[in-house]
Amino acid sequence: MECAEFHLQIPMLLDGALGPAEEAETIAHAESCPECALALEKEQHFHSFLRKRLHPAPAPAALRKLVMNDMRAQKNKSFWRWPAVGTGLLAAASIAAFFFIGGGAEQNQLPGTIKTAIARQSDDRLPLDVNSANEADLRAFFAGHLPFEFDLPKISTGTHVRGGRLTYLGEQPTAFISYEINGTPASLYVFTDRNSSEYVRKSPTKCQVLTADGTEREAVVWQRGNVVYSLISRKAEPLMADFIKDGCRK
Amino acid sequence: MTNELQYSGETLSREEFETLALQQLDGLYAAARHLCKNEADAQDLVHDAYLRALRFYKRFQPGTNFRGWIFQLMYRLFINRYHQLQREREHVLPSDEHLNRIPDSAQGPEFSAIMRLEAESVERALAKLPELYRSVVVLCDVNEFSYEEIAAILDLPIGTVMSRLFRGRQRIRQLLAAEAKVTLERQQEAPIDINMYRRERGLA
Repeated sequence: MECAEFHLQIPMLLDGALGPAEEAETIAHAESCPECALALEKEQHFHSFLRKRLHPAPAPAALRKLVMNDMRAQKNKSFWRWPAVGTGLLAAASIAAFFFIGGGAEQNQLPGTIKTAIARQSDDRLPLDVNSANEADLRAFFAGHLPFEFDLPKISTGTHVRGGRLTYLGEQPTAFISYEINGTPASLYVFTDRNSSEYVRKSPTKCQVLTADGTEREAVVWQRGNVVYSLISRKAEPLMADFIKDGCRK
Repeated sequence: MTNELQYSGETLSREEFETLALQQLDGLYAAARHLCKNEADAQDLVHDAYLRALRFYKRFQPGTNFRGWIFQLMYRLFINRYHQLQREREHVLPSDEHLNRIPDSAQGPEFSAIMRLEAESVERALAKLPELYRSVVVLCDVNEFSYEEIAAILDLPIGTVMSRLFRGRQRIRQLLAAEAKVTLERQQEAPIDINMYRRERGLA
């Protein structure tokens, strides 16, 4: 084996990707060539350094609990008694949860998955597909990505549309529209569910959402036909009321 | 590495799936944290992956590599849902021949300084890699998958896995060398604290 070939073999040697014969040949070369032995030693140091420093930290306890709750939740038979079985179920159920949270004994009947679906709705950190406040741009984008049509709420003074992106609640394609209400971020999620009328009222209803990290957020939910709208914000409670007052009026 | 995680039963029951899936939580989270580059998105990604796995676990073929299956599921979710990937694909590391050799800066005096760098420095360097390289390095050096497993998870030829891994590690080393150099220079420029010097030598 030549030195150049040896250098190419080093990563595979350290990653345990060489066969026994190749490994023996590579090691034999290192033993006969001091320069290559030194190079191997340094590579070995760096290799173990990298793996040591990147040694994975355990998953947070909250995440483990969330996952385990999901697994338990799906075993909950009462969950499957709900009429919306299928991809729309999670979305519909998440809306139902808005009304149950804070509702005493009923809250405890909610599967963890549903609570989690709600919690995820407030995440506004991912990049937008459309960075435009122009309604036509948003309409054009969502028309090509969603199997349903919806009306963007009219917005009140002080409210600014940042843009939108395609997202999912469970497997349900959902329009995400990012707003700023007097400088405070707010997230509007729009999706369809044929069973939503069982859970969602036509007039905007304010409720509190308990998120995965245990914080409470303000949410407003309403529907038009089969289209469900849910607006969530971290701290825009009074502002959201104004937004909805104007916003859902068509 | 993953042989013990291969399930050899004829069918995978719900309970067996849960047991296998929960064994992978730490590894999935570790990979997700490096892929997403922040904890909140990583937790969302892992959670989404579990929801999806719960939904589709019956598609898993017993006797095949469960660990690879669930990592592949999470990685595909990452590609589909987190669109930055498309943008990052444009930022490919230069294909200069010199990358085939360890850069001098990483072989010289900085080498020992690199070895003293903490985990945060390595994580920062890893985060700076384009996703193409980061995912391969993460699967190999964090999750310790074999080249073959990485190729299956990322749906890449094994040669591509090897070259990306090589180049990704080289880039990390270059970035660490640069950081180590700055640290060394700062140490050399820093004024000597005479009281500290005396205390260290028991002269105070």
